[in-house]
Amino acid sequence: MGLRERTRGVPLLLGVLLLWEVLPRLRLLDPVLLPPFYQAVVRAGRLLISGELFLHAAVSLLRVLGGFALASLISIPLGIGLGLRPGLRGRLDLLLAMLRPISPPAWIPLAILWFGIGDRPALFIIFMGTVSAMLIGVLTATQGVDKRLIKAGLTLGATQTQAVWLIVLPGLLPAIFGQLRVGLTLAWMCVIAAEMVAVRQGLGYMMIQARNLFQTDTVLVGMATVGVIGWLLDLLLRGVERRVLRWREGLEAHELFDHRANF
Amino acid sequence: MSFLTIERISKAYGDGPRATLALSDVTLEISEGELMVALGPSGCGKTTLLQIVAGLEIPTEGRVLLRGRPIEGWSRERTLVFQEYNLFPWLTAGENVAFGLRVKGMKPEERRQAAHRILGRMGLRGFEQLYPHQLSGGMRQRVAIARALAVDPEVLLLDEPFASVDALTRSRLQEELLRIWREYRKTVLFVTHNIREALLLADRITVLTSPPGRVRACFAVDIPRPRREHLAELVRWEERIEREMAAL
Repeated sequence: MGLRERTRGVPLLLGVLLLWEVLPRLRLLDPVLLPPFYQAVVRAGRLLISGELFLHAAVSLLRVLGGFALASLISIPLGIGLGLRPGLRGRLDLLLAMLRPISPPAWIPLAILWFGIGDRPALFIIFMGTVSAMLIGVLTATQGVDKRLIKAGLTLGATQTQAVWLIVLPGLLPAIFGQLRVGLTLAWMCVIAAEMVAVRQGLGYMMIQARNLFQTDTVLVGMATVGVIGWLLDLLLRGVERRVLRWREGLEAHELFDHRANF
Repeated sequence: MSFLTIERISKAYGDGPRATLALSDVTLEISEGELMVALGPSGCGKTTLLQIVAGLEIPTEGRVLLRGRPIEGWSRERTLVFQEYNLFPWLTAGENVAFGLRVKGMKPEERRQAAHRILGRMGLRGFEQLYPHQLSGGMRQRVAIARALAVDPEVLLLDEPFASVDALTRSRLQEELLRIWREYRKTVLFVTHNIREALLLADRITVLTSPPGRVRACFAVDIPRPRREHLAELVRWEERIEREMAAL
């Protein structure tokens, strides 16, 4: 991707920031409820210098990565297993269908009762909030793996285990990357919700404390920090994806649409 | 003596009154090194027949014997070339060809060389590093044939392999298949609905009816090779087989 394509999103972002700066300054919005962008930048600077922002962000990031890793380690193998063994899936379907609509914040009371306050309830909430969505995603993708490719592998002498590792798994990789991105997004949603009640550190905690003190600028800094870190993580994941899925170059649907757009 | 025996195979899908019969009492005997073509209209169960010989489907009745021993499931002694190639899209041409050697436990360098050798014989030297979607249809099918040959099978099964390439490519692939068949001395069971293709390739042709697939007739084709040069005889044979198939 060229510099030009990379920076295509910048004008819109600048426009939003400009509105954020101008609307409160012109008193079109109450500056107590939405302090101007510049004020948030100053606040971010202070929080950075004091080390507070870094601490809270690092704590949240570690929780996100921990909960996300745990959810991935469970949901990917389990999703593949269930996708390949419909009998097993039949036994789990009902339970999964009922667990899925329970939103991550709904787990907060139980998490606090079981784990008290700190990292463990936060990890638990992230895990519960991400695992079922990723599981369903991987399972569905597994059912869509081309059966004919597996037939080809088996007649060439692959054992069933080899077929899973050498055919099902590579065939699933594009979908798995998609699920990882979904999971990471969900994990960020969960961690902020969890930190607003169950912990004494983290960006969610920082934001809820600031709200209590009417420091709206700190709330905004917290939100922006989540946005920036989330964006960076997604960028990282996409970079890995591009390397791993190099074979897909020239196969992806969007290329057709890009092509038309270039005329 | 029969090398590959397909013995009174029937295959029904579903059961009870709603069952549909795909194959009914099909018997074929193929000698070692022979190129047998099963010819029939679409829906005559040709693909089912090959899947059964490959061990990917279980017949409702009957059995398949190789060297007199009943087959048990799939095995690299009977490899299958599919109409739609079924190459692994995430592997390069070379890696696709080496797949069967890889699962057998051959070392990377050895199998890379083996793949290189076979691709060279198929006229694909220099294309090892390309992915399937970067190849033309004809090249993909050559890679698929090379992949099936690489594990040195006893029987090579081909399921309408040239149905989706253009006529020019098809006749080149037919010539190449004949050359490879002579070179590797494989027993081949080739399935097609194309009478001319059957006549160009086969030692013997088994005509299947539809549906369900039954053996209608079996011909030993005695046109000298290369058969393209004996057009009059080809046409005579074509008419004869057309009559046979029309009389169903």
